[in-house]
Amino acid sequence: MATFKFDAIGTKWQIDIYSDFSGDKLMVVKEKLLDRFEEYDAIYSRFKKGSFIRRLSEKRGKYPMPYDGKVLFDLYSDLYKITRGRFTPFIGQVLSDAGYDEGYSFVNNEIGKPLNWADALEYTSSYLIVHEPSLLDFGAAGKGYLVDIASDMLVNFGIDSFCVDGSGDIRYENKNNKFLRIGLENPEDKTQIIGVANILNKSICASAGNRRKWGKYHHIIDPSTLESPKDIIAVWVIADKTILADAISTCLFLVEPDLLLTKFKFEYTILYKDFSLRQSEGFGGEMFLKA
Amino acid sequence: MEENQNTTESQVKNGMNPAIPIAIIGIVVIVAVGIFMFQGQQGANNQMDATENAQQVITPKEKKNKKDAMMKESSNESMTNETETPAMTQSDDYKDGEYSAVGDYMSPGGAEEIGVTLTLKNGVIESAEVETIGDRPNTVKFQEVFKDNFKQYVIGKNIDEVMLDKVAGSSLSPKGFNDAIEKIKSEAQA
Repeated sequence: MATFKFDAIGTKWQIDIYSDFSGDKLMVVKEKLLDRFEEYDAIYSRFKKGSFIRRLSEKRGKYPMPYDGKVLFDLYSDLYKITRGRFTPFIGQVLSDAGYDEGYSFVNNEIGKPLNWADALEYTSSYLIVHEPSLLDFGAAGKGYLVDIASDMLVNFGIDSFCVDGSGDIRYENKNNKFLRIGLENPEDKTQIIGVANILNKSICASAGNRRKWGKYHHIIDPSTLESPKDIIAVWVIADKTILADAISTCLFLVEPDLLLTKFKFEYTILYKDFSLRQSEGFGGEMFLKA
Repeated sequence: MEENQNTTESQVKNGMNPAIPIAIIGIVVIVAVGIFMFQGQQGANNQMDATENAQQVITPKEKKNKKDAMMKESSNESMTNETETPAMTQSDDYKDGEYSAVGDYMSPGGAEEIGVTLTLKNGVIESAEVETIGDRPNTVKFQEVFKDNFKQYVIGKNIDEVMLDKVAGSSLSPKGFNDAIEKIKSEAQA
């Protein structure tokens, strides 16, 4: 098995390749992946100076849609509608005002409700029109999408058994049908797990408010309350695509699973602050239930 | 010849040979025991199923401890990355399915009953439901409160004790983020 680790889009990545692959070819794969990651960051990061997202926040007007953008915008648009705006890319401005800005100032400025999508932005597969400039944030699904992009690249190289781990957002494929055992980290104690998930040819994403937190906020702010949800402390989602698992894992902090299940297919586990658990029937794995 | 017959007849008339009643009783006893054992066997089978069920309902955690012990053993062998990940195994001892039982308890108002249904999958309680039984107003009220608060709770287990390939938690934050937080903390304490 070959493994390579690297930093990208503000977190740690690890890619494991189980297929037989020559060392030289692996170097090529690694280079191509790193290039692709850099390109992605330069478009979608609100933390990078001169990024596409930053330019959208500065001036109204018409912009070309990035070649990989429609998939992301479409998913956000669907979830925006189904959650009635609680899941929104316009949360970027709110997060920034709350302190989670590109300089990590963590100064709590006054925060207001995010813009209404219909008023601020419209898009097609080839362009975007910004009516009201605002800082967008795709953090809820952006990493998951990149996991899928990396996975597709590996498959295109002829690698059929691998694991792409973007720090909590994982895609695992194995032609030998071996399941991967994934511990579900206890958000209150990183040396512990509260259960194990078993996946094969699936994506799993974790979301919790324990790491990226400052003052009274963490990285998820509910636009309807302008507060970070405190009742739910961690969510895990298993789905066929990592972009979806990632987005849903954030949505579950904000809305009921049944609402999302009307349109999307996924399995979930929700951990509450009293350590009670809510799980979909098909999540599988083993949870460490209190006696 | 005649004498013999007479002798036999007189034997019968005069009193039983003690061997014969003993033999008859013996045969009856043997047959009776046979019947009893046969029926008992059937009853015992039924009883065994019931006990098994009861055990399944009462002690699923025993099975889990066994499984965890098994995991520990194999984890010693598979410390390197080279080892293949084991395929998911099905727990054999407890059949998947729903198990229901009615518990009874005493309340100030009298005897009460409450129903519990558990769904077992792969030896783990997947879901649990509580059913209100009875119609006394207080019973209904208290059982409803119990039901609403009847949740599954989890505990944390040390990562070293469980065989894992990966851990999924919130994303590790970048050095810049952590440094900034530390800086703010120290400024706040100054």
